[in-house]
Amino acid sequence: MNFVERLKKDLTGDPGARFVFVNNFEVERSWAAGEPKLPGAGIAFAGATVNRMEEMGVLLADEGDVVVLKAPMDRAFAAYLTSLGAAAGRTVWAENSDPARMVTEDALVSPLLLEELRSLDDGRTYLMPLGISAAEEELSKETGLPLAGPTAQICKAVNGKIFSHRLVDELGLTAVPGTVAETVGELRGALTAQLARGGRAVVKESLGVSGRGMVVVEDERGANRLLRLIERRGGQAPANLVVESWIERAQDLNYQFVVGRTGEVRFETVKAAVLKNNVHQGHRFPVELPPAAVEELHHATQAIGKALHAEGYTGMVGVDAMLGPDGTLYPCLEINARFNMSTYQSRIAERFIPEGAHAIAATFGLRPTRVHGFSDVAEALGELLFDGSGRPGVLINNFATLNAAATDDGDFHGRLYAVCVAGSADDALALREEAERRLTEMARR
Amino acid sequence: MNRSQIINHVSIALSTVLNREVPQLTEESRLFEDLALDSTSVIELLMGLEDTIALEIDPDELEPEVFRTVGSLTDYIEAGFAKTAAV
Repeated sequence: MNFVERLKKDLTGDPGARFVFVNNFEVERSWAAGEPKLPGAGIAFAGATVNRMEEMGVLLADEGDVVVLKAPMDRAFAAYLTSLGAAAGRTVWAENSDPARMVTEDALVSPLLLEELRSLDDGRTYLMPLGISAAEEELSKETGLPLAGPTAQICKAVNGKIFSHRLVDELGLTAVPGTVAETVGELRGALTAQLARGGRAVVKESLGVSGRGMVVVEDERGANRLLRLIERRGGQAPANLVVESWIERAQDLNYQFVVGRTGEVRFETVKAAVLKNNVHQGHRFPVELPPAAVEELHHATQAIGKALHAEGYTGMVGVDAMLGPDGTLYPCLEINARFNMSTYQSRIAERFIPEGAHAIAATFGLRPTRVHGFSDVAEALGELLFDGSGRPGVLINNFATLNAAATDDGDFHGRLYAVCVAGSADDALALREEAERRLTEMARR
Repeated sequence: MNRSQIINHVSIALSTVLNREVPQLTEESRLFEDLALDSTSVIELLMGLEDTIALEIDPDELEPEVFRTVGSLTDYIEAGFAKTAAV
């Protein structure tokens, strides 16, 4: 069975079920609605680029599956993926699309798409979102297609960083030193105690979006600045923050596993962040870890998975972990009980990364001066574009994000997601660098 | 504090937050698109500005539009001074 078949079997009992993928990236924004935020972190962003990451699902779908998009794919990109055999499913899209909306929200206001989805109901077709929030529950109701997962309420509960923090303690896993501040009044004591341990502290919103909704506090002066801003809300105001030590020079890891509906927990993959001169280059795989660390990750997988199942959760889980410079493994910094970037690379890995090959999943941040088609990207990459022949190459796995933020006046921020495949980890990194150079040059033209 | 002094303070606070020299700012410089500010650094920018301009900012009342450009942030700060002076 391939990755998607295994997932179908785990979540529905039927490896031959049909999935309708709804890739609602940053579902965390929905979970965080109405929750307390750090000062200034409530400044909302349209997220036009992130909303177009829904296209990544095209490379995950299996034969017979359906991927819901915000807009039709660039024809050249679709043709490229088809020529590789990288896109087995079929795509449908919302006829009413707004860049500021997530794909689910677009679908809910698109009657033609809703009708098409309703017509798929054959008793073995399921909605498979990245994560389940109120919008996906509504889509399930509107289309009659059941969700291959639990309720939005359960998903939100197990995705909180306070939940992770407490679970690590309960399970006896190695914890990053820290504490929880449920109210504003508790933050001062928590921060003071944390800084007294030495080193920097990090303050994280329980339901902040990954990598955002957090602030690193250097010292007492920094702590006082944050407290000055937040204490204006009053000591009894809810805060829902986790305060932890900031582990310096740690190796960031991410591993994913599946919690099946019968409670079976199945480990899938582990990836490691790649830094060069302190700049994030992407995630590499496969990863060689010390055997003790591997064993600990597998132990954590089973323990966390069982606890999540006891909470009523079934589905994909990605966990952020860290390997400290002293060799200490912190197996659970944060639980993301939803699809992760790794999930979207799973079929790519099975299809195109043979035993012995190495890959870096990279994000290229570009500043295009105009809209570029996929043919421009293919031309810029030239012989570096992955062609499935077995030689090293760069496989673009999300193109729509390049032009999602295009404006009529001046340059804009665009992104391309890619998996760089080569014979060694160093070659994959070198390939990534050369691809970035060529794409940056293209963006200027 | 006049407008160009405020812009100067914004520039200093941005350099600190972004941990690099920022180019010559204009009123039209976009904080997110041109200077790569992100939502995490907004918190630090607010903390930094409060320290240097002695103005109390209520982050819970801020509209995203305030952070569109250097000019819009400067408008907000100027309005804050006017309000303080009027009290």
